Amino acid sequence: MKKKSFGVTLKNQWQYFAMLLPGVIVTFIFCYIPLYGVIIAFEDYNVSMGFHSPWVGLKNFTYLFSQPTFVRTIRNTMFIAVWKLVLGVVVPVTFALLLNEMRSNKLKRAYQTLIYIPNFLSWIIMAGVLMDILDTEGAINLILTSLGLNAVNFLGSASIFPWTMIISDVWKGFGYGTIVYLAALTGIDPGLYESAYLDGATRWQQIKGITIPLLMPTIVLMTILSLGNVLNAGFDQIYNMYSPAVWETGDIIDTYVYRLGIVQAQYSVGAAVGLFKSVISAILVAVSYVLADKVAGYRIL
Amino acid sequence: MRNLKIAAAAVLCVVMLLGLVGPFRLVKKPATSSENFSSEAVEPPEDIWAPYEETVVITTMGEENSGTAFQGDDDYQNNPWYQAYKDRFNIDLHNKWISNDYGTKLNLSIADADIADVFYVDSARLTTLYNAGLIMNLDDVFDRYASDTLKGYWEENKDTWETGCFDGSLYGIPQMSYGIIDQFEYIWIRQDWMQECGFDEPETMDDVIEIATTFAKKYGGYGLAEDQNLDNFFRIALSWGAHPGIWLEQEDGTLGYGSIQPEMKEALAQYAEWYQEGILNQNFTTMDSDKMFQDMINGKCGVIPFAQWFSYNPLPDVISNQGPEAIFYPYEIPTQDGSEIKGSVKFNNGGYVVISNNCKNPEAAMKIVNFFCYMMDNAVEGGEETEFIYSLYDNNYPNIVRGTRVINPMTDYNQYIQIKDAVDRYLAGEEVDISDLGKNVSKFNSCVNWVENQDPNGIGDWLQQGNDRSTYGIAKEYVDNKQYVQDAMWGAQTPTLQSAGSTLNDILIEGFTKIIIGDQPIDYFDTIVEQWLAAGGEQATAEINETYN
Repeated sequence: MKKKSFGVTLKNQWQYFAMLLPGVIVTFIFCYIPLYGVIIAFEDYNVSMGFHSPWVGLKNFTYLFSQPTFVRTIRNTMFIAVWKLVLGVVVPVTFALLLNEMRSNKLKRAYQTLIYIPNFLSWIIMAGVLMDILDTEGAINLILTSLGLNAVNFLGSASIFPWTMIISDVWKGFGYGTIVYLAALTGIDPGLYESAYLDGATRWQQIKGITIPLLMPTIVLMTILSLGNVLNAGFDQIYNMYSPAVWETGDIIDTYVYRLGIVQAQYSVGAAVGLFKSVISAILVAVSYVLADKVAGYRIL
Repeated sequence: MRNLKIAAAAVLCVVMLLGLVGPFRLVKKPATSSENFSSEAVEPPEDIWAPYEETVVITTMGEENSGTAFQGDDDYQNNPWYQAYKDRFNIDLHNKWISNDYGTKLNLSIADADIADVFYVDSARLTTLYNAGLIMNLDDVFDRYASDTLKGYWEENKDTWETGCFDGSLYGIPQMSYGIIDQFEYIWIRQDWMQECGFDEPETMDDVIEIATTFAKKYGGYGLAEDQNLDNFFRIALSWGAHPGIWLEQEDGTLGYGSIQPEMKEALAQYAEWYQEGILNQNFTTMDSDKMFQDMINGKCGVIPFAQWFSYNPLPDVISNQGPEAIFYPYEIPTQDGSEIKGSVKFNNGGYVVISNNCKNPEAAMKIVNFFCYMMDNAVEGGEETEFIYSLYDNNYPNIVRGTRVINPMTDYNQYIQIKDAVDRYLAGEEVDISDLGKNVSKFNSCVNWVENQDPNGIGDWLQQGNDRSTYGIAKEYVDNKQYVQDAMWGAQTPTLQSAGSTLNDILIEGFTKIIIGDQPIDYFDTIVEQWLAAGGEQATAEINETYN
């Protein structure tokens, strides 16, 4: 297909471009103009001097990386985010496969709805509920102790806290992923299953030989697209549930920035962390875009 | 097509340029209204309390405070305070602006050198204004026009006054606070349990622990309450002679931070032991103060080290839930060696009243400040009517004059003496003339309300001032006997503390928590101190020594 020049497209479709304009302007005003503020990451920001504060170059970055409490947040962020990413694929795929095998359509729908519900609750609310359930004297520990097991300090123990975050996040979000994969499953040609059945393949062999290979592109795509989020380990979840006792393993970049930039009003250093995070995320997004094209054949332009 | 592209590019460029220019244009100087109000210098009368013959107009800048409950048509410009300035002194105080974002707005005004005649600033801006030469040397006007009451504050608080001086000259009058009497710590113990178990006032920390463990055994729950910020640990550490959170002189004469002294290590070792023995709530690390209070309200804990405001929150809720017998009383924190307990007292100053270099009648600003002090301290003796005093003090109206007031740091102290006396007379069956109490009537009324009706809303004032065992009753002794250590940082924070202060505190809280819950041995304390010093503590200590030693 011969590509039309932009001018011709504009002439023919100017109405669409006109409709696009307000969105572009708003994005420009609220996303691009504030980028100018990035310079405070290289300044010793002083409110009364504004953007013309003294220039300090990379001092804020060297200060940041000399802080042991910052370096560990990178490790914690990666740990929590990578596990969330992995389990965020494995669990929904497994559930989609299980639901797909169910005979009763009614029951299938009911499960689908039930597991989707937590996804709609904000972390503020979920955190309040989970804090009570997971307390050392909460519902889960009461069950554990009544079974003769030791109580587990889900939120107060530094070795367990990251897993509490990972599992509760996967639990909250897997309903959404399940629905995406279920949709992909319905797209598989039923004829394949019929012929496999005639050849005497068992249910398990059908899953292994047909379902999983055909689901693979979707899985790869979903995984690659979430790569850009690796440095977002979930601020609202962790901020609402962590405490000084678990900072060692539970303090992530975003919660650190919050304490530093907002609570302590160190705008420059806060901006430096934000910039650092954005650069890494941008690289990951670029990498994932290339990968999505190469591996799953997915591209926007 | 090419033209179109160029046109589009040009338009985009213009938009971008506008975008860049836009924010700066907003900062542009607003049309000043002060010109209309600037008055000529007016000859002041000889008597500092006498009115001007000619109306004097001076301007101020104010802070919006949502706590102020305006009555009728009152607002920041028309209210009993401003009316009184007009009536008493013929001074017309005019608000240049009122903002709910005072700091930012003030920064803009300072940047434009467009400030009012009289207003208040924090210590950082006081320095900025002094360096910019925008504010007046107040030595002469203070000497000539400050009332005896105000000069009395100065005599009593010279060290605080110095924080408003540059090169020995006064530039900002410290606004001070209601007093240090509210800064002390206590151990609160539940009374109905104490009586049932037959305990007397605890004399040693062991007594406290015995009471706590007995409560836990008998009534369920746990012994001592703590939350994730370790506030109660920092309170109880006073028992070991530690003074966490303030700067104090060490043996070698230099200043050091109280939270990293050897006494803290001793306190921490004992506290960790208590945690291991199950005396502290085992899940304190995941509890904020609200959750901790919830346990008191539900009767799960009967001993807590806490500040004086425990009687205001959560005690009313405890009483609503557990009945009036479940009252907690404050006790002194017993020391380890049986010596007198010493509290920690921090610098607490609400700001500085400054007068612009361009002010034509600085003595008028002085009169306004005088008037506040007079109403605060001498209104009843001065024969002011109760109704008038009330019109100035009710509904948080003192907030209106936030920028031009100076508070007597003995206010709460004197209030305690007055209320305690009135309550005692009331309990003895004597008639109490509430018009003598001036602005303190409501405190007295709520004490009476507790005694007569067991109204939970009265418990706060009752245990702060009315009861024989009250927080201010205990604290008055501390103040009288100078039984406290004063923060060596008597003034503004140093630059490192301003920028890294809470990071430094985070290191301590995180490390102490690890020791208490047994993740680390007690010698980890030394590692924490090293981390603290490396993360900026060393620099902060050097700055403190340079500035305050």
